[in-house]
Parts: sequence; C-alpha cells; structure tokens
Amino acid sequence: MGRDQFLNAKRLLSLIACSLIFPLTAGNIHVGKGLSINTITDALQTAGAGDSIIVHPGTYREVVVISLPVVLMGIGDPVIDGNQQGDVVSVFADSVFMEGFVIVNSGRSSLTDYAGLKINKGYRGIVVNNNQFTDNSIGIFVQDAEDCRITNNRIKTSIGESSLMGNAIHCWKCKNLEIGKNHIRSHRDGIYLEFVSNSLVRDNDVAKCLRYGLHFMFSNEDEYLYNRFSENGAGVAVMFSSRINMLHNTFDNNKGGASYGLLLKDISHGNIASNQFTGNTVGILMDGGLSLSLQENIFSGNGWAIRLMSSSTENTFTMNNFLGNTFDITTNGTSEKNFFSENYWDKYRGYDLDRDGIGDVPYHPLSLFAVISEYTPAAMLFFRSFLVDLLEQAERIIPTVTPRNFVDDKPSMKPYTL
Amino acid sequence: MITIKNIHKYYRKLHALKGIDLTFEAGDRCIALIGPNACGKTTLIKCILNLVTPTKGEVMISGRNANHDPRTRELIGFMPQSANFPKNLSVENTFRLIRSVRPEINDTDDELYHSFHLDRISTKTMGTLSGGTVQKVSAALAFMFHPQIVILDEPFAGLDPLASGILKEKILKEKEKGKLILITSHVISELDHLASHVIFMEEGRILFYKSVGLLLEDTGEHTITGAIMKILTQTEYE
Amino acid sequence: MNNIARIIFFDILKSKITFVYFIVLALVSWISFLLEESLSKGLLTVTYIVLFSVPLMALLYSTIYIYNSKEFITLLLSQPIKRGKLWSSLYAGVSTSLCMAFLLGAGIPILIYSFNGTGFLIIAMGVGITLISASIAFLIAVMTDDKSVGIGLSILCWLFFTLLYDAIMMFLLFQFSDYPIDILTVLLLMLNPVDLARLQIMMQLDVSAMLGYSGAVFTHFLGSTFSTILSFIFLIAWIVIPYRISLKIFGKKDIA
Repeated sequence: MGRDQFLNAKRLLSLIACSLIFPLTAGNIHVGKGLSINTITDALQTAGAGDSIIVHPGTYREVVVISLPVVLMGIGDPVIDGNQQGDVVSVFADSVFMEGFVIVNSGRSSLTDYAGLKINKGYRGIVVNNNQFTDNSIGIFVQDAEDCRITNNRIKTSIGESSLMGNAIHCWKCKNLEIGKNHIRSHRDGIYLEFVSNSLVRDNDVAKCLRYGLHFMFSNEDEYLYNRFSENGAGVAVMFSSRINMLHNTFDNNKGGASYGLLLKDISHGNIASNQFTGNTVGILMDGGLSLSLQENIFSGNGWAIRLMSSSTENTFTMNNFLGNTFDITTNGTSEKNFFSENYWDKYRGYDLDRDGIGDVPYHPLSLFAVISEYTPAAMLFFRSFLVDLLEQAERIIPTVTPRNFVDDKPSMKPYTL
Repeated sequence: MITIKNIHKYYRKLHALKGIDLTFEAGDRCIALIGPNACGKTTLIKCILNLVTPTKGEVMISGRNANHDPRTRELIGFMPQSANFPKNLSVENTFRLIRSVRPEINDTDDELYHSFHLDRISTKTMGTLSGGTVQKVSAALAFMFHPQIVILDEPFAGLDPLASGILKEKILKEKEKGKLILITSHVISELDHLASHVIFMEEGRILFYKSVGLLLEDTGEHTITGAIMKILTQTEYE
Repeated sequence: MNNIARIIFFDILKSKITFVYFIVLALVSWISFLLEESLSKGLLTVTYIVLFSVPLMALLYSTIYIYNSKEFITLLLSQPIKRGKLWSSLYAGVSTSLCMAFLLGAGIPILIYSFNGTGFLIIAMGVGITLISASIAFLIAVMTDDKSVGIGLSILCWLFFTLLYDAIMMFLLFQFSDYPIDILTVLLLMLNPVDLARLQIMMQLDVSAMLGYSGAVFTHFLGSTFSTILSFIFLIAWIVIPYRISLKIFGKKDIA
C-alpha cells in the first residue's frame, strides 16, 4: 500500500510539472501551414526548455527529435509522418509532454526496432497522452526510462508481416510507469514489459494482437487492473516474474490451438482476483506457478477453465465460479499441494442437507476425460458420446485414472455474485 | 379373365406351388378353392393378387401381368383370411382410406355396409371391434368397387350365422351379375349352394378343376361335401 | 403427403405412444432448460436426448409399427396401389409423426431458449437422426419377418451406433495413437450418423475446447465447408440408402 501511495505522489508531481508549470512559465510557439514556422523540427530548434509548441492541423513529413523538456500539443489531429524512416518521434529529454498527434509510418526493419515514439535511455517524467499511433513497427518504445505515463492512446498497425511488426507498447528496463486507458489493436504484443517494475497497467483495451495482449517478462511488483484482453493470438502471458497483482481484468475469446486467457509461466506470489475468463480455449494455463492465490474469478464457457501443469505447487483456488466450461480443470500429472476450497462448480451434483451453502460431499473437479484427452488429444472426438459418459460414471464410482488429491472439500452450492 | 401359367413358388426350400396351370373365364362362376391345410390355396390367391411373387411362371389378368401391373388389382375385390386394420382408424375412415386409393370411382357398392349395419358403428375405431365385425368390414370393402373378380379367403370364419347368410346372398347375387368369384374355405359345407366349380388342391398341385355338376355326377353324391369326402377316401385307398 | 401417408400420419399421431414420446421429450427439454442455471447445460441435456433417446425411439417405434401394420399393408396391397407408393407413404407417415413429436416436444423449447445457429443445428440433427433411424428400421423390418428378431436387431443397431462403434473407434485410436490418424478418425466417425451429429453439435457447444491443441487440426477440418458438405452428404446417404434398399426388398417381398 505504501508503495502505491508513493507511486501516486510521483505521478501527480510529474503531471503538475508537465501540464501546469510549463504553460505558465514559458512561451508558446505555433507551427502550421502558412505560419512562419511550418515544421516541428524548426519549432524545436527555436524553443527553449519549458516552451509549449502548438501544432496546427496538417501532415508533417519529418522525423522529430525532442532534446529538451517541452510541451507538444497537437490541435485538430496533426499528422507526423515518418515516411518509413527510423523512429518518427524520439525523446532525449526529461519531462516531455506530448498530446494530440497522429504518428504514422515508422521505419520497418527486421533487424532494428523502429517506433512511432521512442523514449530513450535514462530520461524520466515523460507523458504521452491522447495520441494516435498508426502503421508503426512499434507504437511506443520506452527504453530504460522512469516515471513515464502513457495514457489514452489509440495504437494499431496494418503491417501484416510478423517479422516487421512490433509491439504496441514496448517497455524495457523501466520503473514507475503508468500505462492506462490505451486502445490497442493488431500489433504483435499489445503491451510488452521486460524488466519493468513498480508499474501500473490499467483500463487498457487490447484486442486482436498477433501474440499476447499483455506480456510480462522478468518484471516484478507490478499490477494490472481493469484491462480487457480479447481475441488475441495467445492471450496474456506473465512469465518469470513475481509479486504481480492481476485484478478485475477480462480475458475473453482467446481461441486457438495454443491460446489461453492467461499464461502463468514460472511466476510466484501473485494475486489473481476478480477477473473474468470467458470463451477462451484455456482460461488459465499455469506452468510453474508457485504460491499464487486465485480467488473470486469467473470462468465461463472456456474449453478448459484451468490447465494446471504438474510443476505448479502451493496455489490456492478459492471462491471462484466455474460456469459452463467444457472442462473445469485438467492436469498432466498429479496435483501437488494445490488447494481448492469454496469454489462454485456448476458440474457439482452433491447435496446440502445442513443448508449451510456448502455441499456435503467433496467435489472432484478433474474428470476422467480431461485426463484422457490430456494424453491423447484426439480422444476429444469422443467427448459427449454415450461411451465416454459411461466411463465417466464408472470413474466416479471406482476412481482409477484421476488423482484423488484434486478435490474441493467445500464446494459452494450457489454461484457467487461477483 | 385370369390365366395362370405354370406357377411355381418356393419359400426358401419349401416348394409351395408345384406348377399350377389354371384359366378362369368371366361370368357366372363361383369357384370354390378347397384342399387340406397348407395345400397352397392362400399362396395361389396371393399370387393372383401379387402379394406373393411366383418363383416361376406368371399370372395374367385381362391380358396384364399381375406381377408388374398394379392395375390388374382394379378388377379384384379381396377379403383376406384375417384382416387387421390400423387400430386407431375409425370404421368410417377405414372406408374413406380404401376409397381414397381409387378416387376415380364415385359409384361404390355400399350394400353390405348397410346390411351389416356398419353405419351404426362408423365412429368406432377398428381396434375396439370384435373379430367378426372386422370381418364384416373386410367383406364390405371387398365388394365396394363393383369388382369383376371377387376373392374371398375363408370369408365365413368368425361371422355369425346371420352375417354369413347376408354374405352368401351377396355372393350369389354378384355371381348372377356375371362376376367371377373365388372362395377358399376349410368348411366345405358352407360352399354347397354357392359354388359352380370346384378346384381341389393338394400339396401344391391341382388335383382337379371341375364344375359342380360334373363333380356330383362323377361321384354320384348330392353335395360337394359328400363328393369331396368320397374322392378323398378313394385317393387314400389308392 | 398423399392420402395414405396422411391417414397413417394421423393414425400414429392418435396413438398413445407418440403422444407419450412427445410428452417425455417436452418434459425433459423444458425441465432441463428451466432448472439448469445455465443455457449451455440445458442445451447439453437436449443434445443427449437427440443423440441417445431419439434414435432409440425412432428405431424401435418404426420397426414395431411396420410389424404391426402387416395386415394393413396386405389390405392396401390387394388394392390397385403400387408397392413403392405404399412403402413411401408408410415412411412418410412414420417419419413425419416422429419428427412432429420431436419438433413440438423438444424443438419448441430449444428455439425459445436458443434461437440461434446452435439451436437450429440441434433441431436439424434431431430431425436427421429421426429420419435415418426410421430408414434403418424400415430396412430391418423388411428384412426380418420375425417381429422379435426385428426388434432385437433394432436395439442392437442402436447399441452399435451409440456405443459399440465408438468403443471400437476409441480402441483403434489408442492402439494407433502414435500415428497421425486424427483426420482418419474424424472421417470414420462421420460414417456413424450419431457421431456425425455429435461432432457437429460439439463444434457449436464446445468450440473453445475443440479449438485446443492438436484439436485445432480437426476443428480446422470439421469447420470447413468441405466437411459440412460431406456431413450433409453422409446424412442424406444414411436416410436414402437404407430406405432405397428396403424399398427394393419390399417391391419383391412375399406378403405372408
């Protein structure tokens, strides 16, 4: 909690620094067709630190390099067209504020990462708000920077070739970032965070990305809240990270042979709560999850709500709703020290004689067929056949294949209102 | 009218008809087809109706092959041995069903329908009727379309004496109109005053086909029953 | 429908068995939609009806109906009526009344609760399976004169389509699981109309799971236009071929 407050205070400071102090203390430079200054580069050369550059409508075919703290304001969606040459806008200064631009056509290369906007190493306090990024290789590239805010941007690309297509927001080795309310479509990864810590990702809408909607690598102590990830190639991946909070997100319709709502790969001590997983091939794929806590999530209409690989241990699943999934749980081994309690399973057929809302018979969420199809996927072809039904019934009476330690001792009789 | 040429019928290994040749002329004939159980009577009738396909040989009715042409049955009225009707069909609807097969005929013969008082039970379903009543329906249906040929398989079985009498009268009346009537019966005495000709079958063969007059003359008996009994005892001795 | 078919149709509709069939279908369907907390579970119950109860009922009922109509058939055949016409009337009457019972019993709740592609698919499969089962029943009934043998064959047939065939296929799948036999398994399963219907419905109800893993291979195949056309051809073939054979046999059959 203390960390959060600290973060918020810092953010507030940078906000004040950018949008309040500069306009009051410095002059305005206007850029536009027919004005004395008609390129942004010229304006930047005449500007001093803290000046505001107001850019009028039009298309500016130039590569913009910002090397001093200025405010860049676009009026009426001015377009900065990088003409497929390198980075369109590069920031080599602290406390730059950029708002209201349409930034298009960065360079495209399979060797170098070109971006619509690049925040370079060592700078801080940069705000990128309310811009549109179109047809760039990478939308926004934040490299080794701190205290930056990337908010309210619309980022998409029509580059189809995957080797030239980059991530919409790509952050490497950063601290204290806030990435919020961005609208992201059709990039490789929606938001890519590598070695990023103490950052907040919230209220973003990420869809139709080729790979992941959100991708954490080696990033610790971050949180992402209230985001929506739909129809991405593989969903959201959180890998090799620890202490990540994942709350109130929606993961839906991530469908395909290797798709999932959320991939948890070698992560530990995270909190996954109040999320909604709907219509994914796999809701959560946990591979090497350690001491994660999952509660009050809704899993509905997924092929597999949770695939728990045998390397995952000491995770707790409590008070989740499992509704209308083809399979609720599957595993490729025996569950070791994973705890299920007080979840609502719609496939549960037990009774509640003492009327305490908890079923009197323990529930074994792992079905025989989930196990069989884990080893022989083609067996899916026999699902919902009379034969499989009979086998399933037999297995319930005399368990032979499914591990017995997969059990919810206190299954809820009613779904939770979440 | 009906020409039966060298008919053979096998039911798998069972040789039911062993070369039957018969010709029935039209007009004023009532032919009694008699013989012991399993002699092939019903099979022969079914061949005429094409309910059974002969293994060999053919049945021609008015120049048409019964096996290929369903129109041959336009000439025939048939009362089967034990008729069974759709159980939920009412008497009325049963008649309507059979009529609907031949919508071109407007003038139907409803004499038996009335004399059997079937109109009184017209709303009853067939499943609720007694065996005798079902036979009455079956008989009425056989005469309904004024057929040139009437085939009656055990018509009196199950009928009460009154109904039997009505049916016999009807048969005689139709015979006098020049119809060809073919009756099978186990109870030969029932045919005494009906039959003009007798066919006697045994083990899939025709033993004889004679007019009643000739038969009585040959045997010196007064009734068909007597004549048949005499022949049978004679054959036993031989 | 011609006159005879219509009479048979109303005759069957008036019989208690189709009425009971209709009531049972309606009860189970309505209860499963009303009591299950989610629509997908209701649809699953209805799917099980379509896959297991419908073929059993249609097979048994059609077989028994043909045996019980023996005298009726004799009666009509002694009229100037073509055998083919009578047989097709019987088929039309039996299958229409079974379909009606299904459509009114299960179809209405399905459409009320799931007025979409899935609902229509389940109904179409129910109708298809009814027609196929009736067709097979006609073949069984025309081939065997003994009623009890015929009924036994019908039950065997149902067991084969719903259970034995899957068991054999599953055994083969596990035996040859080292080989890439996914598509072959799909094709072989499609030869069984019950499996065909099951796969088609599963493609709707469990699409998320069907898209998973190597499952994507056969989803790709099952979802393709080619396989849709193939399914349609197989379903039609299952209706037409047994019926045509039964018709041919009936054309020459001795009505004993």
